[in-house]
Amino acid sequence: MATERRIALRHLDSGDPLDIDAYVARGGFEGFRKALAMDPGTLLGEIERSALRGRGGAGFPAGLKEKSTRASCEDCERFVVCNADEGEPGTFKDRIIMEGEPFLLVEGMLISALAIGSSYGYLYIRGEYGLAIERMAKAMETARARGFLGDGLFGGRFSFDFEIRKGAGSYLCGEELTLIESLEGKRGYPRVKPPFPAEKGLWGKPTLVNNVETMANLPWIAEHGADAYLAMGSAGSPGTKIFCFSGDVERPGFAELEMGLPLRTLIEDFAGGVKGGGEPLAVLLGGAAGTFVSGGMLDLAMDYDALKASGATLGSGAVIVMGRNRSLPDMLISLMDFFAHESCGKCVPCRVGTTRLARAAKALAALDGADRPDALEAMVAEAELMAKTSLCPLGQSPVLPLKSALRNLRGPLQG
Amino acid sequence: MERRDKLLSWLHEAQERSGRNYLDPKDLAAAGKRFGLTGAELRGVASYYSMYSLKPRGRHLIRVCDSPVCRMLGSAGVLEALGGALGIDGEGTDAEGRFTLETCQCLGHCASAPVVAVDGTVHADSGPDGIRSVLASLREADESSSTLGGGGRGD
Ligand SMILES: Cc1cc2nc3c(=O)[nH]c(=O)nc-3n(C[C@H](O)[C@H](O)[C@H](O)COP(=O)(O)O)c2cc1C
Ligand code: SF4
Ligand code: FES
Repeated sequence: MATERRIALRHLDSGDPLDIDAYVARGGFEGFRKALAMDPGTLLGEIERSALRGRGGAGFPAGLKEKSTRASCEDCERFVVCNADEGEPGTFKDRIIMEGEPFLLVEGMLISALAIGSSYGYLYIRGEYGLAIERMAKAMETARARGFLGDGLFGGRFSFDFEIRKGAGSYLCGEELTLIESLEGKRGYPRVKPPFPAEKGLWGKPTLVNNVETMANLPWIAEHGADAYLAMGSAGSPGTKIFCFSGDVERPGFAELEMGLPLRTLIEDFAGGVKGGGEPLAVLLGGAAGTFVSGGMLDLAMDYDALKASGATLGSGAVIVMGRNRSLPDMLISLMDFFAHESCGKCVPCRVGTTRLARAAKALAALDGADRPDALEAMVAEAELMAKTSLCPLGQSPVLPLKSALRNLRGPLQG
Repeated sequence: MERRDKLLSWLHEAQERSGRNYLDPKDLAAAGKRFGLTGAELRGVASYYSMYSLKPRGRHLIRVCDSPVCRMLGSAGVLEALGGALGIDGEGTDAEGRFTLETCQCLGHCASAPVVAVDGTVHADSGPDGIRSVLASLREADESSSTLGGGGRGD
């Protein structure tokens, strides 16, 4: 049986999460200490070579993003922003990190700041995460008192500190440029890309935006080096990923696993198997902005490339399991309702499109099984057009579950 | 004048202080002065975010997650059961202004679906049986606020 490999969760379940002495005794801040001793080029090189990809959903290479943020100006102010908005349905890993090992995120922020040459940052946490906000605030206070945040850290020239900012209930604010708008105290209307945050982010300054889990990998990489990181996982997707299991499984929860394991192993060994036994009807990977695979596809390797080849994505790491007697049309209805609810309404294609898709999903559910594939095909066409004409990536999301359902779930659709 | 990035946190605090889980016009006026924003700008921000309300809500806020995982595992039944027990039809506030029942999107506790949050605290496994414990904690919250003179924050 495969076992967990905890990198981003390596300080979880080891006593009081707010005990900084225990954190240090377990090797905490060792990654930061090592990173501080490197010159920034070496640190950036190490992160880039580790091939760590963003864990917020898009999988963008973390080292490359840091490098371009650093390179976008000389001797200017740059910001580190940690994205803890975690609104993707089925996803709760960032909450686990913040509640269970807040110092690891503090350390990840520090290493990010070293890498891009920043002295100030923000942690944007969704307003619903009360306990995570409380724990992070306490951990930051303790870290400050103990000389892990502030001026002249470890007696050197590097200074860094950061503050928490609360979100207020908007899925779209997890999108990096919208998050920056929200951080600036505005409505969460997206900005047009380019410029990317690396060039013009918070208050127009170069800004690094990374997901909580991405940053939680950095201490280990800084401490053990890129080669050790590359030795885990699969060739194209090294390292580990935290997966969140929900829906019809015996043991819903989470596990940090090396990438490349078959989906079957995830579900059977780490989520207790499908409720009631047997194969699932379908699995939705990555949340609402995710993709469906069928119950017959459980041998799929959970890495970026293998999933892509099957029209699926890893996304945020959500693994939502639908049991045999669930209804796929009902699930499509709730997904389309979700997007209709979260569309900010700024541009017409998405405002109208998400409402129309929600209605179309309800109409589809009322059809005879045999007529549903055509109806779904029409929905995919509409979602594709909407993806092309929408202002921001939210408008490009509904096509993901729809298209993958059409491709992988013809049977469940009709049944 | 205070920089605007503190606005959302400030509004959260004002809403908690209100005792009725909403942004009081007096607070909005104060925010306007503090952050140098017009009333229209402030209402624009406040109305955008789902956690704020411009109208008074109950002293206690019950939010039922209606996102895909919770919906699949029975959030509709939870909403109905809570509404029945509280005398609220669908979403809304009871006649005494004690409780507001509303739906919300994924609360990040999907492993415990269907999920209900009472005054920000998540109650796991709110299936038909779990509902009882939610109701018990609601009564407790209500009593603790009554002993505070009815306008308590209930946390
Ligand atoms: C609608 C929408 C919502 C998003 N929500 C989140 C989120 O809650 N957390 C997150 O880390 N990234 C989210 N993202 C992705 C971010 O835009 C961005 O890619 C990410 O923060 C980059 O960090 P990473 O490279 O470390 O993954 C979202 C994107 C979109 C389009
Ligand atoms: S695509 Fe949707 S969410 Fe994005 S700006 Fe347009 S309306 Fe808003
Ligand atoms: S879907 Fe309800 S808590 Fe995530």
